Parts: sequence; C-alpha cells; structure tokens
Amino acid sequence: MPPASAAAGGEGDIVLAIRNLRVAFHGLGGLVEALRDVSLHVRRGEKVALVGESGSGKSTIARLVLGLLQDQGAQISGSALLRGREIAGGVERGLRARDAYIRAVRGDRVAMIFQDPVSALNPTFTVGDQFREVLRRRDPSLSSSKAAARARAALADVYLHEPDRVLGSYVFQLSGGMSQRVMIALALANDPELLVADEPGSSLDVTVQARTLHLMDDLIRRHRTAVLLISHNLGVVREFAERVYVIYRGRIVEHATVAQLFRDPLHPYTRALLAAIPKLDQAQAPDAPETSPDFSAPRIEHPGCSEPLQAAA
Amino acid sequence: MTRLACSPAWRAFWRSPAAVAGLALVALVAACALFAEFIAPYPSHAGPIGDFAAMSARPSGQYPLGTDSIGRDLLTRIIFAYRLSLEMAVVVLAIAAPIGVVIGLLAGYLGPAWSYALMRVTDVFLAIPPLVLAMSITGFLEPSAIHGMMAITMMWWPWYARLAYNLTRAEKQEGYVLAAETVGASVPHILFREILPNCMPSILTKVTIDVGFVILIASSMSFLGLGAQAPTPDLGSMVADGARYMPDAWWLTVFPALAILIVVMGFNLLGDGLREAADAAR
Amino acid sequence: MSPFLRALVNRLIASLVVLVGVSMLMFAIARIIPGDPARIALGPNATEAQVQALRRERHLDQPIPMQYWEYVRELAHGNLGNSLYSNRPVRVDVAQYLPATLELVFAAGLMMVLIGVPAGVLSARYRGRWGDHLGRLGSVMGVSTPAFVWGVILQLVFAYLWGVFPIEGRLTAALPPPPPITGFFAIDSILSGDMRTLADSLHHLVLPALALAMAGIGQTSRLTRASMVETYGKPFIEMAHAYGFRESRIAARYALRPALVPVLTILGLDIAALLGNAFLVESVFGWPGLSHYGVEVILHKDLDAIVGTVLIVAAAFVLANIAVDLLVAVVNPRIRLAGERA
Repeated sequence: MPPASAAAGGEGDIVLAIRNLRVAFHGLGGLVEALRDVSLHVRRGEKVALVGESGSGKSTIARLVLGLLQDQGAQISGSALLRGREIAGGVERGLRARDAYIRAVRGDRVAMIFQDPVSALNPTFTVGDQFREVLRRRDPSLSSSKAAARARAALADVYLHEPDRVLGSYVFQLSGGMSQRVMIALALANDPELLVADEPGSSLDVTVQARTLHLMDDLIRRHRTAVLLISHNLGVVREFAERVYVIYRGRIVEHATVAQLFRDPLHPYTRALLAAIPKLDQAQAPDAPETSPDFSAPRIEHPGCSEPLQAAA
Repeated sequence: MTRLACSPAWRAFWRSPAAVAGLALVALVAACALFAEFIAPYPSHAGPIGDFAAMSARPSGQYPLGTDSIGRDLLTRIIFAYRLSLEMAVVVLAIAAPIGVVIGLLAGYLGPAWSYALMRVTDVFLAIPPLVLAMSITGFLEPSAIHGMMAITMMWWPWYARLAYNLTRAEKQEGYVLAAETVGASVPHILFREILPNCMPSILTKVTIDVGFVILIASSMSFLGLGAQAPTPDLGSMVADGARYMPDAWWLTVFPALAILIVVMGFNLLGDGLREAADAAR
Repeated sequence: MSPFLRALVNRLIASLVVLVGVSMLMFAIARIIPGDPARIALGPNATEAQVQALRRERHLDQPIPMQYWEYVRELAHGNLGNSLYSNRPVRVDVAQYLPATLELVFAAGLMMVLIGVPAGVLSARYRGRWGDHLGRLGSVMGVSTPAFVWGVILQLVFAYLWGVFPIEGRLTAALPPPPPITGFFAIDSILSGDMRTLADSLHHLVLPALALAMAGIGQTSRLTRASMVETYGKPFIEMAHAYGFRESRIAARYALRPALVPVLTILGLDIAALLGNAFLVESVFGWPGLSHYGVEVILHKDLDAIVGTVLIVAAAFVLANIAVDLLVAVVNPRIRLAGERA
C-alpha cells in the first residue's frame, strides 16, 4: 500500500482543499464567471460528490484540479491546494512552479475518469499502447513486457477477462461497459491519491452503469483513493458518495452528508432537485421550478459539514 | 443589404485579415480586367507592336516593369493578360460548374444504377491527371485560347459532379427532402428547389477558389505553348518567352510569374475566407 | 474473405472499368477530332496513294467501333501501337521515358511528406505565433504558384545565380548513365555500386523535384495543420493532457496518428496529381521524361502515341490512388478491422 500522503503539508490527510475559488472566462460579451467563491475539500479515502445541473460549473472544477484550465486564459483567484501545494491562485512568480507541479502530478498522483470512454481513448492506438503510455508516466523506463504485465493485472482488477485480447484491441472494438472499465483501470493504474470522476458511466445504460460503479467503489476502497465524483444524477450520488456538495450557477449552495441531504434537504435548490426525481409511486414527475429567486439563498452547511481551517498556503 | 452586412457570416469574413487581403487582390485584378484600356500606360503594346527604341529595357520610370524583346511595356501586357485570364476562368466555370452540378445532383439522388453509371463516367475523367487531359484535348485541335478553354472545361466538370454528388447524398437523408417526397413533389423540384439551395454555399466557395486554379492551369498550358498564341498577352506564355532570356532579362519572367501568384493567391484567400464565413454562419 | 479484402477487390474491378473508359474516351477524342492522321503523318507532299496505303495499314478506313476493337486487341497483347513521331512502338517510347518521370514524382512525393507534414505539425503546435502565420502564408503562396514558376525561380536563384545546383538534365553530360535495370538513375546507381553517379543523379534531382513538390508541400502543410488543430480539440487529447503526457510526445505521436488519417487520403491524391504537373517541370529543366515526349506527340498529332501515353499515365494515377487507400487502411485500424467486434 502506498504511504499516506507525506507531501500533503500540514493538514493531515486532506488531499484536495479549495478555498474561495473564483474562475472567470473571457466570453463574447465580456467576463463570464464560471465559479464564484467555491470552497470544498476531500480527504484520503473519502468519496465526495459534487452535484449540479449542466452549466453549474462542476466540470470547471474538475478541469481546474487537473490543471487543464490554467493555460486557457481564464482569470483565477482564490486557492486550491492539491496535496498541500497551490495549483490555482498564486503570485506571478509562482505561476511557473505551480504549472510545473500540476504537470508533474497529473496522471500519476491525480487521475481523471472521463464521461464518455469511447471518445476519451485514442482510436488509433490499442488499449495496450495506452496503458503503456500511462504506466510510463510513473516510470519512464518501464519495459514493454513489464508494462503489459501490469496492464493485465489492472484489467483483472476490473474483472475484464481475456486481458490479452483487450490489450490488443482498439477502443471501437469494445463495448461501452468494457471501455468504461478500461478507463477505470487506466485511471487507477498508477495508484493515484485523488480520482476525479466526471459523470462516470453516464453514457452507459443503467444496469451497466450500476455494475461499473460498484466496481469502482470496490477498487477505491482497496486503494484508499480519494474521489471527487461529479454528477448530475442524484441516484448515483446516493449510492456511491459519503459527502455531497450541491452547486448551482457556480456557487456551492449546500454541503451535507448523503444521509443528511436526502433526509432533510435545506436549500431551496436542493429541494427542487430532489423533487424533480420521478418516484415509483407518482403518476408523473412533479413540476419543479426551473429557476427561482430562492435559489440564490446563501450556502447552507449541515451539522458536521464545514470546511477545515487552513493554514495560509 | 443591411441585414446581410450584419449577419455573423459577414462579420466573420471581415475579421479575417487573410480573407480581406484576398478580396483586395481580387478587386485589383478585376479592376485591371475591366478597365484595362484606362489603367494600362501603353494600351497599344497589348498588340504586336512595341517601342523599338526600348527593347528588353530594364524596369524604369518610363516602363515600370520593363519591356519585352520587341519593346512592349510589360505592365500593360500583364494588365491585359489579366483580362484574358479572368475571361477564360469565367467562361470555363460558367459551363463546367452547372454541367457538373446537375450530373452530381442526379447521380446523388437517383437510384443506385444511375449513381454507379454517372459516377464511373466521372471517374474516367478524373482518372487522367488534370493537366494531361486538358493538354491532350488541346493537342488534338489547333492550340488557341478557345480550344484551351474547351479543354479545361471538359476536364473541370467532374470535380463539381463529385462535390454535388457527395452533398446530395448527405442532404438526401435530411428531413426536408423526405417531407417534399411525401408531399409528392417532382424530382426536378426536389433537386433544384430543395437540395440545390442547400449546396450553394459549398459550390460557390469552390467556384471562387477554382477561378484561381483555372487561371493556374491555363497559364501552365500556355507555358507549354498550348494556349493563347502570340501576340495575345497571356501570363503563361509570357513566362515561357521570358525564360529564354534568363538570367539577364530576369524581369521578363519574374513579373508575369508574380502576376500569376497574385491572382491565384487572391482567389484562394478569398475562397478560404468565404468558406470560413459560411462555417461561422452555420 | 474479410470485408476489407472484398472492398479492395471491388476497387480493383472498378479501376479496371475506369481504365477501359479512359481508353474509350481518348480513342473517341482522337478519332472524332477533324483532321486526317495519315495525311498529317506523311506531310503535304505525299501522294494520295501513299496516304491511302497508310490509312489501310492503320485501319483508319474502317468504322470507329472496329478501330476501337482493333486497338483493344492490340492492347491485350501489350501493344500500344506505333508512334508516327518516333517511328517506334509506343510501348518502347514509354518504357524509355516513363521511369524518368516516375523518379521525379517519387522524389517530389517524398519531399511533400518529409517537409510538409512536420511543417504542419509544428504550425499546429505553435498555432497563433508568428512561425505559424509565416508557415501559413508560405503554404498559400506555394499552392498558388504553378510548378513551372517555381521551376523558373529556383533555376534562376540556385542554378544561374548561386550555381549550387545544375541548370538542367538528369546527369552531367560527361557521365554515362547507370545500367538500366529499373530506369531510376538513383536506384540503378546503388544497384551497380556507382556512388559517383548516384551523387550526381541526386544532385540533378533536387531542383526539379522541389519545384514539382512546392505546391504539394504547401497543401500538405495546410492540411496537416488543420487536421492537427481539429484533433487537438478531441476528448482523447484532453485526456492525454489530463494524464500528463508530454506536449512534444502528444504532437509527434498521440495526436499525429489520428490526425494523419484524413491527410493521407488527400496526400495520396496530390502525389498522384504530381504526374500531371511533372510535364511543366520537365520542360523547364530539360528533364527527359514522358512529358517532353508527350508534348511533342501532341503537337505532331501522333494519335497512337497520345492515346498510349495518356492511358499509361492514367493507369499509374489509378494505381497510385489504390496504393494510397491501402496505406490509409494500414494506418487507420477502423477501416482494416471494420466489422470485427472484440
């Protein structure tokens, strides 16, 4: 088992800590704020969900954590500590170091699972080729045979039988469920400390998605990986996550454990979200308001759910 | 007109410096073609007689681009050559494009037998490298500007047939075509009133870029002696004539060559700009 | 038979049909055009009897379908007719001149790939910077300039002015050509171990091949750049970034391979199109290829030779296209393995 994050600075086992993050893009009409004053944290071995509708900014957070945002000309202020080091804000001098750090860490200590595995994997390289690329991130001198052995082990972990055939295939030859498992295996191949899962399995049908999520759950527990699960699907969140942040229009509006959220949603937007889920004993889906001035109510934190105090970066 | 000027396509066009440059070059060439008599400093030099006192003269104040071996002002001849080039291109495309498009529409829309037959015929013409086909056709006849035009036309239509064929096959699946068929519209109506208008942006963009390429092929042919004959001023034959005096009277080759570059590049850039504008509009 | 193989066979059959069509087309044009070939061949001083004799000998007095049938029969025996211009079988003429043209075309094609593709990759990787803009301007200029203009300019600068390269020809006049095994001077020199001739023939090859390739380089570079830019926007590249692959590795491998797929098809067509433009460059550099022969027989209205030459060129063109499609299938696994599910 890999050691506890010794490099995570002074906060014990917090892997990701975002504080007062603000991200704005230059749009056609001027500056567009994607994230407003967002704060959240994920600890080692925790499964934290970020729930919101499309356009709420949840994907922006994912991309920020993976460092995919920083060179897009976005305006970023606030702080995001990954394993104790700043990856978002930072003074002019520190930007180089910031970028270098994120580039050193991603694919290795931080991994991401993409929404649609079929389009996220390169169509002209075999699965084995892509495993080799990912494994060589950790160990550039890894031989092809050793890489293949590790890849086979990773595929066995996701219960993909006939690993050699899968390794020799191209992604278009695999079914959606198999591609998703390959994606999970790739993400966990280097045993990362933090896994960002962007709508995992949302392109699959429901039963396959359920099986895939159970599989992910199992693996993550074994590796003690921290997970930031991004989803619009409350059912998935309920099954999988421990803590939930609800995000609306770039702001976190509610923070609770899964049990608290589903038993007693406090924020009007959360209530509207939950009400919109069709229940088996209802004739039709209820009318939830699309927007409402109530949604702009300030952030509600349930008991036991606050952001940890943080020493200055 | 104001609505057109404010449309996103228009704005996308003006935002691209390359497209605007292309438009400027094309406008310059068109001005030369239309107003040759008024713009050219020595209009009479477009014919067989030049200034015998200044044969093969270097570029100077009097003759800005120099003169050729019989003393004709190069600038004038280039301006008149632009007229011939544009005439050729317009004639060729005005004939080749409609023929090709109609064949392509038919091949794309009618049944598989028609498709196969028409497209194989198109393939036959496309199997011969463009210049070779044009050259051989011209070769069978007496080389002249008219025969050159005929040859290039014969070799150009297949490109439009192929373009129209691909577009039609894609459009055939669209909802509006099915709607028209259900209503019982006739085939000509579907082809020309429904499908064709949707293909027009691609076709027009291609026509614009093709003007440049027709001029390029035509100049290639006249370089080999298979196009316009002396004393008609023609860019390709001017380069060929000038090549004999290399490297001493370099202006005889370099300036007509630059003239070709300018006109082809202009239409290329303009066509690219139109294509990007059309994409932006969608 | 795998679906891929079946598609290939269909392609070959279609190509055969097309070549037959080409032969018909050329034949029809040749025979329909006004003018009496026999009269032209013998000149205005020949007697009527001589002309008639020639007409009978060449079957020119028979109806056109019969003439075509005769032609096809001869073709089946590998006989392309006789050239009135060179007084030799066309087949012999073609065999002599074709390799020179092919050598030129191959060299130009090689340049297109080795210069055009990297230029496009670099342009895409550093897009928006001045190098990119310069590259794009160069591409447009390359595409907009006819091959003969490039030939003339290159000849002026590098041969006349700076004397770095020879002005014309395939070999220095004093040097004997290598033994004609393939007809390709470079290959024949290697095969016979003559390094001096190899160096000399390559030296002569550079300028004409470059002139021929310029437009193609511009086109290839533009295409590669556009394809790379589009590929950079694809999800699997975002994943590559997320997984920390090095930027240079992404450019040279991970993004390049899928980006090459659309480029290869057009690249192949462009290389095949070089066959047509070779005519111009051969003229400027005095290259003894098929084009010089072609232009001469055209001006002499040597019908058999014209038809034969065009047929050979068309066949080469078609074969080149098929070769390109095969290459694309190799690079793009989707086509190769179409229909096979894991």
